[in-house]
Amino acid sequence: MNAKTIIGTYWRWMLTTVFAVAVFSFWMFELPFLMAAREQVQLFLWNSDYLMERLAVPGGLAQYLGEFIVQFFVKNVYGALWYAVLFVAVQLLTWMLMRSKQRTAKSSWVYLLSFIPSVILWYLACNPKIPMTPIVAVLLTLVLMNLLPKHQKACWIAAFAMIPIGYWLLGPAVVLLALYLLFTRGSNVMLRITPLILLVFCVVGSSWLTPYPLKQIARGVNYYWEKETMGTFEEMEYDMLMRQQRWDEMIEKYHQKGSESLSVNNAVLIVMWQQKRIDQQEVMRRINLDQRALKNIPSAFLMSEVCMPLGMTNMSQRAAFEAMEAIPNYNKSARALQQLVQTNMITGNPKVALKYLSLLEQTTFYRGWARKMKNMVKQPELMKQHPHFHQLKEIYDHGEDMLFY
Amino acid sequence: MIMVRICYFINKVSGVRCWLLFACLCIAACSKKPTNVSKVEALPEIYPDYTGVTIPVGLAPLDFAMADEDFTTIDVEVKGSKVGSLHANGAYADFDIDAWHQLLEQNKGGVLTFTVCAEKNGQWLQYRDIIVQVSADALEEWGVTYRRIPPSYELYSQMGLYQRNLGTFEETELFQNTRVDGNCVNCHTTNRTNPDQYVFHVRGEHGATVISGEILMAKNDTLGGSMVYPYWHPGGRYCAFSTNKTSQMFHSNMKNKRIEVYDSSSDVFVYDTQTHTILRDTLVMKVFGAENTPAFSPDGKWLYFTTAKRQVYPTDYDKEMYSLCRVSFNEQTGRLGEHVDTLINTLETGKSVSWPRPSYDGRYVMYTQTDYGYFSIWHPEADLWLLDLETGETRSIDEVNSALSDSFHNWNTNSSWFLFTSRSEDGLYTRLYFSHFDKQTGKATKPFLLPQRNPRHYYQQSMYSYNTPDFASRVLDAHPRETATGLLGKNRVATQTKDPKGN
Repeated sequence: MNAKTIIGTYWRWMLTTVFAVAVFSFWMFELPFLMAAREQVQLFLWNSDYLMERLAVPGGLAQYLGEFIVQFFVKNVYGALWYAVLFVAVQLLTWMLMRSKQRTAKSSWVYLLSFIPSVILWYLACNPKIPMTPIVAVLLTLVLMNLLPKHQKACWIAAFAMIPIGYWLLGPAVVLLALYLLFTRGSNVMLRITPLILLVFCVVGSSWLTPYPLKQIARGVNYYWEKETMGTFEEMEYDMLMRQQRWDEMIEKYHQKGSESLSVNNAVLIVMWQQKRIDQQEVMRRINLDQRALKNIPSAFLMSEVCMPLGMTNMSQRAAFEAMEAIPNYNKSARALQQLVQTNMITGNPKVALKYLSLLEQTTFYRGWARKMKNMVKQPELMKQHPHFHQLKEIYDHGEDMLFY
Repeated sequence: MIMVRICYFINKVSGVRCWLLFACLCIAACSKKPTNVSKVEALPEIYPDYTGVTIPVGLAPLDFAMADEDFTTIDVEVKGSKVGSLHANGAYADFDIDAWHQLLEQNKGGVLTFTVCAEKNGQWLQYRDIIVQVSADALEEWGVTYRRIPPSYELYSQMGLYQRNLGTFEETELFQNTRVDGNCVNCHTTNRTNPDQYVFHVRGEHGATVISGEILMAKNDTLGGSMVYPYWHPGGRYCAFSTNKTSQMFHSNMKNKRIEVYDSSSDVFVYDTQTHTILRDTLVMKVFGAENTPAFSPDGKWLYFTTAKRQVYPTDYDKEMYSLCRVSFNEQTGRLGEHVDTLINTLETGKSVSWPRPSYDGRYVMYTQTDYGYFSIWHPEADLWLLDLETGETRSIDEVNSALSDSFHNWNTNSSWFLFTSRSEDGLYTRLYFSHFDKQTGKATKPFLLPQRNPRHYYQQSMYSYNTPDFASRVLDAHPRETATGLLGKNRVATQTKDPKGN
């Protein structure tokens, strides 16, 4: 088989593979910090309360699965892989749907059309205010659309079950299913429009069952975050570099582009000090701990990381707590809890630290760390042997109290 | 046993706690009976600590677990001193609600004896019996209301006002801030535990004061601020408020203290709900005084409040100390009296008083005492104190106070019970406690934590503090959706101001 034959036979799979690689590369190399920013605004727990809390609102299953996926974003490579899998799945499901309606369609442009939903979702995923929920919801709605029986009567019976159940589990993305039925099934206009009417009833009816305004329910409870707290791409990137301790990259980037952000400036100062490029006096002279540095989530996390090595444990604690409370959909944050465990250990609140550790023990990626830390919290003498914590505790216990705003 | 081991193994390997595994473990655990029991000459360390507490008839079951998480099974036999018994066995002691209520009813005025056996590392241990008194004094309340809120600094996320049936574990929403785009909701206060008369505030974009369903404008321009800490007049027409300009700052290195909340100014006034009028009086709105935390006496003839000399802020924040005062109030005219009595003078005590709450029988005033300031929740030294209005004596209620913040309290309608919040458990997350108050001796009993089904799991997982609690005489048929619709709209009732004395 020559190359031309191979391309002629497998061009669709090759196109999809190229698309998958493009998606993976984009997230891995272009916007890894956005994945990190998403991961730090949630605390995915393996317990039934967590699931039930989400299932109590429309779109809860999509949110749950979305958060399940986002927990993997703690590693850039996992996150990029997940995005590639999701968008390829959307494309293939779209193609299956198109093929089922137009069996003879073989021309390349029809196949190219199947990439459109994935590309739109890809574009939307680049917006920090749009969480993973609608992407998962669209994917699962496409699954439902593909599952519709071919037989007309069975199709309508399935559709009338899928609309309310699908709405509750996936949210308003189920409108795609209603629209699909409207434009593709049967000739009875009244029947075709009924799923849409049913969906409207579901949306309005759910406003009696969930503690959110109708406007938010109609848009999707967790489809879009109105609060402006996710920060800028620049702050997200510095925050990710700081968290991953990629200090040389931070300094290099800063020297090339500079920054207007207070938190970024402070973070780079701390890193330069830790890299012994400047002394502590210069840090104290140039650092700006104005409360504007806590204006959004990545900034607050940066400030929490900045204050810790300087021995300002209470300030670090406040910044981490503010970051967690600023999360637009009221989630908690595994990263914030990690930081709060440490600050509470230093400030002499072991029971609070243990409480947070008990939550982190129920996560996938923080469990090991939590178990390790639990030993230290239960045996304070271990803390005395720890160079980092011991020093910070000494500073906290014997340092002069100052008030900050 | 094989099933349990398999489930345990899968759980260990995968780290996944799924319902099925949990159910398997529960079923298996339920079948575990104490064998080869060794006796221990000590009381068991249980969570919550219910040893020696006094409880009312009608209270939800005192479910508990061993404090040490290494105990896998607990077997509890409860015997009434008069009649009846109960048994629970499992990962925690979970009692049937109806059987529990029957047992309490049958043993009113008697005691319950809890025999606790617990298994750790395959070894069963039997401890000394726990005694719980069942008070002859009725609670006469359906439940409690409170706000649940994370112990935040400046930003806040999800919070809500809730009512909780004290006879069961059922909690229902009064109002959640998710209904109003995450705005702050606070200070839910009913009139003498009557849920029909209530007030709460919403702060932020959809700001307002909601009084028994009516939505008032959040601020009054003449007043120069908003209504803040409320207390109803027993007649129901008036409600006293403070108006506060509150700020906060943060400690860098103070032990157990994160936040300082102070008012750069505050005043007290009475609001007339019939005419929507703020009744101002210079007696409780002094220029150099910071009047705060008002409360009416149960007969409605006195208005208690705290007052401090205004300081230079923020430098002298720790010199702001509040005295407890009262002034007479005429319900017919809506006028305050002509002079103020000082009941507790900070110049004599060197301490600060906040949150006066008169007992409904008129005998006592319970209040919070701190070293300075009034925002007691962030003061670890905050303790509950009692002023005997007959003798004028004050005392710390040591029976309930802990080393950490104990504050925000109130009485039930027959003044035989009181509730309060405390950070005694971990120093940060405020929990709700109850205590019986003996009106003859003036003594309180050891406090007990608000019962929960599977309490260790509940309190360990909860990221909320209990805030501004009060008793509720019956359930409120709340309409949060309708209230939210009103709050999201623009219509607000304007308030006017008036000085009844014409000053």
